[in-house]
Amino acid sequence: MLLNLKNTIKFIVLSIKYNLKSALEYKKSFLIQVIFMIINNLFFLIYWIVVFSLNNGNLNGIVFRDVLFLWSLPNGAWGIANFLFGGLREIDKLIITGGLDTYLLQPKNLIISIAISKCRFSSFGDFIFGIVMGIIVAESFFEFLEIIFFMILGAIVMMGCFIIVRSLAIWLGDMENISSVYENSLLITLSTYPFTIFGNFMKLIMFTIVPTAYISHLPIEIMKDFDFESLALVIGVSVFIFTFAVFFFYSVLKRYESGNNIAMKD
Amino acid sequence: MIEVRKLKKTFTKVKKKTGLKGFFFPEKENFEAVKDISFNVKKGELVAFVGPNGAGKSTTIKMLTGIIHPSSGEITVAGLDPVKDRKKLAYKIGCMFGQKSSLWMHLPAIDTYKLYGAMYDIDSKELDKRINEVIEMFDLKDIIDVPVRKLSLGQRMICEIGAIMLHKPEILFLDEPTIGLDIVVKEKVRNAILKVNKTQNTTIFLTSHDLGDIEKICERIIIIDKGIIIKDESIENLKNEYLKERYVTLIYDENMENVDFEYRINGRDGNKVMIKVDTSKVSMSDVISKFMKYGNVIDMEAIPVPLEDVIYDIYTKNE
Repeated sequence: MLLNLKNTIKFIVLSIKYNLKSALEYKKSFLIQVIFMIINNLFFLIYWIVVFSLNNGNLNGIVFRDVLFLWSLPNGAWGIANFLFGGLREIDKLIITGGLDTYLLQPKNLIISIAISKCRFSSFGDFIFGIVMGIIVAESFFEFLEIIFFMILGAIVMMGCFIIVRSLAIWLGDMENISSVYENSLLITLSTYPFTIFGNFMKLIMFTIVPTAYISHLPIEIMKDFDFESLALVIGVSVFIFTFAVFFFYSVLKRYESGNNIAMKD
Repeated sequence: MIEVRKLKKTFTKVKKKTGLKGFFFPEKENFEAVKDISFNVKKGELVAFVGPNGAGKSTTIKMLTGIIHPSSGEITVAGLDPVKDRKKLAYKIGCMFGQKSSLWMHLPAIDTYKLYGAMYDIDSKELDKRINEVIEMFDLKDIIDVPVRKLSLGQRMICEIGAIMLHKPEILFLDEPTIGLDIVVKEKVRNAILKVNKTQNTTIFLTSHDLGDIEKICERIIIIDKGIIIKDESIENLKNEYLKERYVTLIYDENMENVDFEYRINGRDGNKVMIKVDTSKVSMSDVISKFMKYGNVIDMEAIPVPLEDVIYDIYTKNE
């Protein structure tokens, strides 16, 4: 068991190392991707700075520090989920092109093998941005550790969502556009706006099918005003979403019919 | 090594998708890709599994390797059930699909080999030893450190075979291993496969549309068509069975393009006329003497029917 875990960790570390080495074959492209992602995030932050300066630093009880929290947690979580485990967002493509064959022939855990098969390097920019925002907003080292902890939980929620949505390709076929809308326009966008601006219906959505409440809103409340029940809820739901996603993926796998497309790892 | 009993695989296909009704309630139909096939393969055997496109070859291989689940029937590969023991089975088999690559395009093959070492739990010292063995066996020392994207297709294929040999599999499943390769590289790949079989007694289960692969590598052939096995015998027996047939080329001293032959011919080109003679049914001298009355035959050549035509004959008879 312990040896198995050690071997799996070695496999994950080596895979990430070679993914990075592969990306660094084109160093300039890698750096440009990272820098552009940071600039992209900075633009949104500037937008908020302007909004707050026009409203004397307070928007119906929301202060700029809240916005920094909102930009730290989802970006950090997105960075972890995509930079280290970006292969999960390929599941739909693997299902419809028969690309899963390669991973089904490998002796390691299928979800892990798929997850580490691709690192999305532009997301490294999101991760750096999230960490920097975390450093700025944290009032103590303990609070910074809390931010890292919630980033990891947020990444787990996001990965669960990637798996569920992308696995729907078994019934719906091409999921690239639908998944992109769900991941970029809903999961990320909704998690970067203050919870109080949404109506009850949207709040219900954010606690269920687009679970941004567990990625940013509840964690921020916990950090501002610690509540054990809320913490237990965030941890429990994060673990539940990921576990459900894994079971869902394996049930989908029974319907997998493979294919004969020509494919090459990049 | 491989035991297959009454194996079936049925896929569901959407038949009609037009109109609003078709969109919400598409008609579905079942398609039997593999229908009740059974066979055994012994350890160290070199088996060709062939058939026309859509015959059920790839579906069968995918069921044998645990990629897809059978609809019914039993499979045992290296003592394991591919559905229940997929991960355990992965340690015992090596798979190469000619159309798919397992190598990292931007990295040298040595990096993929190291990752494979971690994937198959091979410790560092043992992995170095095995990599050196593979380099020596397939003569990879000049290309092992070159990024895969810079290798020729042939070099890449050899590196692929090297990669699947690192964990010393008991069975190799090879699907079109020489697809797209030139004659020289094909020969290299075939020799590499034979070397693996000879040195490690590895069972080879190969599918290919290239009859050269089958003739040069395999000792037994299983022909599948429309999901059923239509022939399962040694290559030697198959050749002997069809050895009685000959292609005969008669060369006349004049142009025979406009001659109206009473007998069936297989082709003509100027003064050459090709006929196929089944010596188990008619004597060669009878046939030739019949054709000699159409003109003066100045030369002739008789060759056995190539394996390619034999298999084509089997496919068409099955139609």
